[in-house]
Amino acid sequence: MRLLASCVDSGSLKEILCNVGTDTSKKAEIQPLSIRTSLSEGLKASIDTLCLCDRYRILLGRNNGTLEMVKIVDVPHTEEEGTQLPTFQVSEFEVLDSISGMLDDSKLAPLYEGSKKRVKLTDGFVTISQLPGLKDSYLVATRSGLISVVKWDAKESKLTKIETFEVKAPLEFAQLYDLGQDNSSGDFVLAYGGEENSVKLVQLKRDYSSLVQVWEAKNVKNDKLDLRVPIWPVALRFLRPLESTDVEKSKLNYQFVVITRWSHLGLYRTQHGRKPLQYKELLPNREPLTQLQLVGKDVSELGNIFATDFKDFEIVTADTKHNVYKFDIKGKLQLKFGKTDITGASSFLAVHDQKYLLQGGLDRYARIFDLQSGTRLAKVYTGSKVNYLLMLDDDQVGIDKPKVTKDKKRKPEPEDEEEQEAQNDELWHHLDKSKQNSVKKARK
Amino acid sequence: MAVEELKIKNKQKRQQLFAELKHQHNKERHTMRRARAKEEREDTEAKSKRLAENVPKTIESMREYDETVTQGIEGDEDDLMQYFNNKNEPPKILLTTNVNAKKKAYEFANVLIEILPNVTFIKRKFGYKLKEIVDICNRRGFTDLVIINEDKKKVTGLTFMHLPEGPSFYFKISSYVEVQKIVGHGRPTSHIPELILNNFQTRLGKTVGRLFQSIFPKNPDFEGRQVITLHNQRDYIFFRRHRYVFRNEEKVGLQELGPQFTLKLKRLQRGIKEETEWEHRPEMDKEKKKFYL
Repeated sequence: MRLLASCVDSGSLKEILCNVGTDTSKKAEIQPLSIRTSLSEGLKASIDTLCLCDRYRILLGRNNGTLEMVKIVDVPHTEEEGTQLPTFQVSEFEVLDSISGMLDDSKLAPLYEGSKKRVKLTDGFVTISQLPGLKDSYLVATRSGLISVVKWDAKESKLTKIETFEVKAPLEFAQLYDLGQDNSSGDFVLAYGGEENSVKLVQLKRDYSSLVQVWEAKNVKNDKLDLRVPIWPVALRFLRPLESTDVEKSKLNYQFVVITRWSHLGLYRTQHGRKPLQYKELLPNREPLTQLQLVGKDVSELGNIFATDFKDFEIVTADTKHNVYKFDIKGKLQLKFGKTDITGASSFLAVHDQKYLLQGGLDRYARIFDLQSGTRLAKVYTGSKVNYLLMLDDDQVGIDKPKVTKDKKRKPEPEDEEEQEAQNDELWHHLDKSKQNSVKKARK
Repeated sequence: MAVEELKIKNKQKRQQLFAELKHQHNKERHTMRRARAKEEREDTEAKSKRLAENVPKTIESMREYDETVTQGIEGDEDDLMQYFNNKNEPPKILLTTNVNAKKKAYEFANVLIEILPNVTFIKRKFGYKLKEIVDICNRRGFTDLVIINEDKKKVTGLTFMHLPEGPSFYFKISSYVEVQKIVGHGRPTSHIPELILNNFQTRLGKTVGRLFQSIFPKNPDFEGRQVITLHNQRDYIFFRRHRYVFRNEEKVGLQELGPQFTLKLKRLQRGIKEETEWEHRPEMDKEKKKFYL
């Protein structure tokens, strides 16, 4: 398994090569074959998010506002003397081109002053994703509400910013819709939202000439104490449009799932109206939830699901303590990942191939879970808080050593009856003898 | 040999037998020790050799493997910068209590005022949220916010928040011994003390060590001869304060200044009480040989 982990503390990218069963916290378990640090730029320039362009290129956004196109080069692993590792390839990274100044902190200052929870908010990249149907065009969204389109020119090895649009800040996510029949034509649709910034659907023209808002969600009714329900969507995933006989063609037809920081699971259908179909609290006391990943049969590259109704798929989400939950779409808890193992909040979750769940967080471990059963497949200490994880492949390297089992403490009893009896006799004899010796003399 | 290994069905007999066996073993051991001591009185080398060979197993020495102990801190300089954000200025601490605190909290605050350098105590008022307090502190250039937590007329906890961006630590306080209770205690002076951080080994432990490092100024007044020790043992952090004196070239005298208390890390959060980085869970206590600091 080849993992790329964005490490916050050193602002670096780490390539981890490990097999199933790896656990760095136990000495007797399998250890990772290699952990290599590259592109280290320090805490202030940590990698917020990255996007895999193809097998040999990644686009990454750093916390200091730099966008970098990085080439991955496979080189054979050079073995240290004395170690007997199987032969494998490791990656080396080379920055091809970069754009800086993509962030704007000044926009966020008035926002966090108004925020009830946040003390300080710094700008960062929230999403970098490939525009559906186009090969080398990327959508880059920042927390301060700057949505840009960036193009990569492979011939000249140049990254250029084509257009930047400004939307209402702060942003927690910008999710592109990639479930259309034909992704190669028509406008791009994306959804965004954030703290006190309800979900909005916008259309981006294919020639990047304009970004128009087409739909905005409306808050739900006040709660039973007649208090306003706060808005803070943190993640969104699209479904296929509704397929039914009573679809009104004049109305927009989109469906999506939203997770909010106030632990709501919102199911939206634009045909139904601006309010959600269902808005359910997943945790008591509105404890914060931070992530959303869909688990189902047919999930697109951007994490959206090819389903036309809110059924037959599950969601994976994480809270700010240490839990990673799998809920069904009705809001019933199915499974908790890494129940006793994870000690810090998960800052990153991703589903790879509908097979693995990648988890990384503040406890400085990168973990891989089996998505269905929830068993842990690998656990690797990265030495730094993990911001982003990417699985490049899930191949096993070499043959694993057999596990060393601890020998039991107590020796097994002799099965042979005669032997046992002999032992008993010996004991009695020993005691009788000692008794004779230790008889105290009566005092005179 | 354990008592259940004797295959005797009569419990009384079995116990009696086992007691006898044990007694006998003890006797043998005592005679062996007497003989050994006699031998070693004449041959001192044998004793040192034996002691070097037979190191007793303690929970600490049998500590469960932790990969973070051997590895260095990644991005060490940046990590330090986070804590020492005001390069040359000494730390400036705001001390307060929980809302509606009782007498004990104020008494403890008096003690902490003596210990912490450059500290301002503010009586906690109603109606200010933590975020507002932090904002106020930031505007006035405070580097740390310390909150005493009192519950049912007992000081139970201590929250340290590094400003402006965190992290936040919550410690449980126990075994508090006030200065007057310590026999032969001295009076502290206003000199900046030296700091001894003992046995903070894991990555989490190092973070906790950093916190205390950042709270006390880096330029101790050596003429004060005062030392604050934070000794970590089995995840409990023992706070002690002493004055030392060099009696002669070999002997050092210690005078305790007090107070004594014990801290136990319960929670470490990113930012000002945002995402949890580490939290103590009751089931962690089940593993006796696993330590987190």
